[in-house]
Amino acid sequence: MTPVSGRQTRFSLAGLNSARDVSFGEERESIRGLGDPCPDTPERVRAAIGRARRESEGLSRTALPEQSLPGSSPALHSRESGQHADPPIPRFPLFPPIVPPSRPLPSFHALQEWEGYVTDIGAENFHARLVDITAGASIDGEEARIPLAEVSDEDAGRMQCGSIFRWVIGYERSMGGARKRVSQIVFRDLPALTRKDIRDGQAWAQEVLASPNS
Amino acid sequence: MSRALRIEPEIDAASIVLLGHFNPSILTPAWFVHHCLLPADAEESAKLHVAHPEVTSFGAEWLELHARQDRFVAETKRSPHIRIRDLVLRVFGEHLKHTPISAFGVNRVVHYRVGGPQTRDSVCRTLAPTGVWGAWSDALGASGEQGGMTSLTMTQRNPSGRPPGGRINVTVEPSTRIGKGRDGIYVAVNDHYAIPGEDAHSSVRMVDLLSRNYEWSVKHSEGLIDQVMSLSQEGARR
Repeated sequence: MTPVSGRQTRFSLAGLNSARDVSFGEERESIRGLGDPCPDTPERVRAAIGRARRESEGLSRTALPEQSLPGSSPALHSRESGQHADPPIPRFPLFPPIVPPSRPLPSFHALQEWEGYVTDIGAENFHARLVDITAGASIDGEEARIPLAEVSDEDAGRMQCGSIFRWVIGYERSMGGARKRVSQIVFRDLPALTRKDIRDGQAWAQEVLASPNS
Repeated sequence: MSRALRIEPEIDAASIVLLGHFNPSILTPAWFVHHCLLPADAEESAKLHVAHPEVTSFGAEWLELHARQDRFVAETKRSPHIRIRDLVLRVFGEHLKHTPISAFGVNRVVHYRVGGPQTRDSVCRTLAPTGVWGAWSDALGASGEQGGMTSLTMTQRNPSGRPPGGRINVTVEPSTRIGKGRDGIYVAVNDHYAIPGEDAHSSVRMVDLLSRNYEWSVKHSEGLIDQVMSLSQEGARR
């Protein structure tokens, strides 16, 4: 198997202002204040920090805020009814004004995703074993020869046999709304293995070997 | 592990939210680069929105990071989403191990088009029928233009296999971000893990739970999102 696209794909600087784009609502307003690149006035910054300090209502606080539907969020209603007063906030420096983007910011949605590990590195290609993540597989069932040109310069410099990566094929939507097919290989920056990880891995291996289907 | 969603979202984001006690002033692009958590060029290329003792926020390639004193958010709109798991585990498993963390959430958010306002109305009225509202149902009208569901959240309490206090929350709303506010649906899944008090003095328990459960959370979330998407296809057929 070779990649569908021979074109190396770089990460794009999304120019993200994700607080504006991804999720909304009263708590979303609080992250809007955090995520705003340079809110236009110190008052807005102070208001944003004040909202960020208030307890979120309803959902678990580990939820990102809901999208803001004007007048629809119960949390917005409670704010409008004056249940919360902004505490005093220290002075902030004046940030330059910024015009929020009116178009959707780029996102990259995966249609197909594999996890692979490198088995061999040649002059122009590398070989890997692949696990089909999209299909829910847990065992490597495919092998691929992948051009090194598909790998970013930084990843190419540090990849070695055994390196683990994700290969994602999908559609990227640009700021203008245009859609293009993208193939991207990303090497994982995994946490360092601990003794516990090794013990857990050995236990898992024993379990697999002992299962009737192994 | 992820699965393909039956409708391609126009906006597709994943995030990990941690609750605890953080020091936002250190969580700058330079800190991440110094600890080899982001590429070397991220320090210059990152867009630092604010860096303050109470809040830090920046965007770098695939990552949006927001930190307050009580909350840390790593978010991405670019697959592979597993990068945010790896990043959070490295930050709090290798560098900030003594950070008190009391809870965390694995979140997935999508906005997708359903092919028209009528299909969207059909989905909303399947989830929240207007007919049960008695006399008010007439005032709610026959379409979303007049009235109906603006937000619905379903919660599963104490899912098995995790400490008590966990929840899975699914929120569905008409999308205001795509389709000119008329043609899209927003679905957000929050998979919330509570960390017992005796373990909340450091990040150890969070690291263990997140490393074990992240992929299950993502797969389960995508199944829930796909289930809502299936209503769109049924609505379109009517």
